[in-house]
Amino acid sequence: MQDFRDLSPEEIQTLENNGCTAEGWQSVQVSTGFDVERVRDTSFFGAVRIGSNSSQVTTCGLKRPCGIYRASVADCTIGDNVFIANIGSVIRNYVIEDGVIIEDVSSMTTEEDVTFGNGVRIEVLNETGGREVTLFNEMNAQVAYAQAFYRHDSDFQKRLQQLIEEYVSHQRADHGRIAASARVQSCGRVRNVNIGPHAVLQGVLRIENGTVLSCAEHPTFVGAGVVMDHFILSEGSSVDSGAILSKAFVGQGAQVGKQCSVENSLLFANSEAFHTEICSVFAGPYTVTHHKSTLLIASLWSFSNAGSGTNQSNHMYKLGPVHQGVFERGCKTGSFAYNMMPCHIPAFTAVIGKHMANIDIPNFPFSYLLEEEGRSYLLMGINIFSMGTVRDAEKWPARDRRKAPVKRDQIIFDVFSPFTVEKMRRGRNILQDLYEKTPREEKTVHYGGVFIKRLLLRKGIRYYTLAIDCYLLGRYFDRIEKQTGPARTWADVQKGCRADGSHAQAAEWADMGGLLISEGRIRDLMESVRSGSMHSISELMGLFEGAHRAYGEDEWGYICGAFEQEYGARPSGVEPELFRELVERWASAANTISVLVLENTKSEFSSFAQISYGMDWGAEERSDDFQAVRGTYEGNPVVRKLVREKQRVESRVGNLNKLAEKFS
Amino acid sequence: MKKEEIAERVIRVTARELKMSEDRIQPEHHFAHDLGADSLKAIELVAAFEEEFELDLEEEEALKVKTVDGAVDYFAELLPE
Repeated sequence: MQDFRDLSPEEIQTLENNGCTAEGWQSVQVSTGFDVERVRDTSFFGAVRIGSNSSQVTTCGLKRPCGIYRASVADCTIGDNVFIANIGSVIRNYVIEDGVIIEDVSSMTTEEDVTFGNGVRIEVLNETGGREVTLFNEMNAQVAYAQAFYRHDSDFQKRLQQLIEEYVSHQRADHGRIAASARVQSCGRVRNVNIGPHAVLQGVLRIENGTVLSCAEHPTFVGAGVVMDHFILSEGSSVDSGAILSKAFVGQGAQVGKQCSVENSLLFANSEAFHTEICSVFAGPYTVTHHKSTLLIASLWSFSNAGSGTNQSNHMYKLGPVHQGVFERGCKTGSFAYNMMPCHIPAFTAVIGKHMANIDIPNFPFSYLLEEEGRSYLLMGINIFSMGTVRDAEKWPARDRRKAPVKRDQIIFDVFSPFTVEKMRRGRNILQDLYEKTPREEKTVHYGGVFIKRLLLRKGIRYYTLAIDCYLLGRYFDRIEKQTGPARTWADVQKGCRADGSHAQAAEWADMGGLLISEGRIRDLMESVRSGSMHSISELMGLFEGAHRAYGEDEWGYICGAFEQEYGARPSGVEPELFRELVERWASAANTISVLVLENTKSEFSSFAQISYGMDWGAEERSDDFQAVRGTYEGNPVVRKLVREKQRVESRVGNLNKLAEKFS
Repeated sequence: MKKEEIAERVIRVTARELKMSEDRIQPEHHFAHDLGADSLKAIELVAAFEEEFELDLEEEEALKVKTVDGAVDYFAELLPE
């Protein structure tokens, strides 16, 4: 923007001749490059500044002169080359930056002393409150998670809220901002809303008290029929097609649309919400729900996919809707899956059927939770061998839509990680205990609200052991293979396997809204907030970024601790004889998992999978039709990758054994 | 163990786990196609065989057993007379 000057008497005359009026022309200022002929049928109220308008904009494929046409403008600063036309009521109290287009809008107003959605408190999980998350523009999933879930520490919460309130106070203003190159077209009422650079709002019905963050690299889109209040949308998000949002946060690259309603909920990076009703939900990264009749309520999700008609109850008509559900990362629900809350469903678990018990089984990840004759049954570890799990691990990083320069949500995509592996280790101990205590005459055991068939207890132990071996030993051998330079002695090999840092132990890990983080690091982080040594919310965000960068190191620390408990030596203490045993153990586990995943994949190409294909023809055409639509088992990219990995096991074993031989 | 005994026990376990009468089970029956053992039931069936014959089966090997006859042959090899 440039320096502004008063209008000349000739300019005022021209404006009046062109149908313009002003409360006081002395309050209207313009800058160099202002073309008075490009302001028509416009009324000015209060102090208005107008920049250069000599350029053109393109709207609906037409080049049109910048300027102000058929509008009322009150107390606004308008940048260079702005196009404003057909304002039903008024644009009031806005800074409108360069290159903005505002056309066919009912009204855009900002009242005094507003925070544009910052400071709004969202009641996640417990509808009656208690886990409120205070919104602010740059909030990420980790800060939201700490607000919602670390309520046990009131000193931490108090200081955290102070940091957030300080941030919110800086957002307080008595004018809104439409940032450079934003477009607001064919919209209804816009009230107390900040709009970021390059954002596109088209056909929005009503938006109030919010911020639309946006950037040139990833513009945010708000489309037809959208109604929103008390909200923050992040860069590259999209809210479209009749979506209704009230008290909501939409993360970077997330999409909401097709009449989805979102209330008191947070949807973090790359989530997709269509058709569904979402109420008091903490939707961590990659929460996906696409179907009508689906209700997600009072629950935590991430990396998930909800089948049609998925539903939960958080209300037992006693103390109100107070129950909460936790669906750890990677859960999927089948059509009409139902869970009664409270419940805690383990990571990477498929929920099929209606579950009327309060299920609490966090230590059994990768399971199937099935309904059989009204009872909930658990098949532990079966999803370790699912092609779907392998595919998920591939697709999430590949589908990260975020293009903004700063990716706010810190995400670790690993399926097998200290978080899931430590749970499997605990789950295996529970299964072992249940197996030893259950008489052979018993058909089932009851644990955490589910029935487990006694015969399957040992299977669960076996499956978890395979996955634990594959992960711990696989990572150990990765480390050895990555060592730079040829080892001259076995001590060199061992040295490269040492763990540094204070978090080098087998301990609890958490999934803080997509960030896998050790309990020790969380405690340190909370202490730095609690003690007052952290002075701003951006410093806290920096700590989460640091935790993300340190994941590899922390993971290795965890592996060293768990490795010692599993195999009797730390990685840095393994001698060649044990090394060879471990190579064999890893190869066996890796091979078995590969074979079982490939077998699981075969079912996707079996005669069952071909039902209804080639329906008007014979068997040959059925097969051809199936191949044309679904491809072949051999040609499937996931299958090909698995086959390559299986082949790699053999060559890896050879190389590792050579290494052990060299130093024997 | 005698093959006849193995066959008898395989059929008994199969009938119990798949909830059907023993006389409906024929040696040539395919566990999935003829007896309706889907992939999840198959896991239970393998676990039941493991307990019945007090064996730990390698998953890769167990996958190769598709029919009742095949199961009898497989266990007969593991449990020689």
